[in-house]
Amino acid sequence: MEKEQVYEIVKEALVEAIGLDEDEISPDSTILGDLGAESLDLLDVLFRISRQISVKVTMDDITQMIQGDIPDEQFATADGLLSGIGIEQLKKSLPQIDVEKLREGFEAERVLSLFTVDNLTSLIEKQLSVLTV
Amino acid sequence: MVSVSKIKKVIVENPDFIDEIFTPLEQSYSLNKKRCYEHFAARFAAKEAFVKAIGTGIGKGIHLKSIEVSNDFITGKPHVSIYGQTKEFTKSLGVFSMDISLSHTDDLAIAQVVLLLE
Repeated sequence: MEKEQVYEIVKEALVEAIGLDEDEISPDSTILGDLGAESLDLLDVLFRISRQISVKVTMDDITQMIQGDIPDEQFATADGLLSGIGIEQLKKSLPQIDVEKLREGFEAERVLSLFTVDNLTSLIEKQLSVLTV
Repeated sequence: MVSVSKIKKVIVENPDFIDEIFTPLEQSYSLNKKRCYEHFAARFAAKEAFVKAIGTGIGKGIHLKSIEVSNDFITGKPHVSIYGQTKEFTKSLGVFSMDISLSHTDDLAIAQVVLLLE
């Protein structure tokens, strides 16, 4: 499935789950920030997408995509801010982010707020490509 | 805090949601209540409050179904039980006591979780 098709599925799920208009959604929109979704909305979106593409997409998949295999104690400092290792990981997993801004101090527990529609689209595209190999 | 109308919409429109998120005990308790969606919303709020209290949020191997809310038969006092990886992780934090309180109106459900650490 082409990325554009996946994006349309993601957009449709966001429209149905959050009650947004299509033109309010762009690939760069952060789901929990710009689109105003709550965690229940995000679960709703994942259930709708999973039903559409017959592949289960979970919150575990999202957190794994963002944080990779880096343990919590290395991803964040003792103060709960993103560590250097954490920021380097985010450069790879969420390439759209402004890394320099994060270096000023960003709470690791807020990392999901950086997750965009495009990030979700890429995650699903990747999962589908693994299945079709 | 969880909107009752929102959880109703999610449950009605996603047939797998109930089985993925709520344990059989939670399902039977809530479904036997006249205002079942208020009870599902309160349970969801409790699960969400719990994962925030242990600092993981949803994901990272902590599944909402591994957090179960039950009520005392006589007093109705809510109680939280945890299983699997959630239990292991919570234990590793040094938690020795877990208390929850639930409240709900027609529109909103709210839960608070208090964890006591060694």
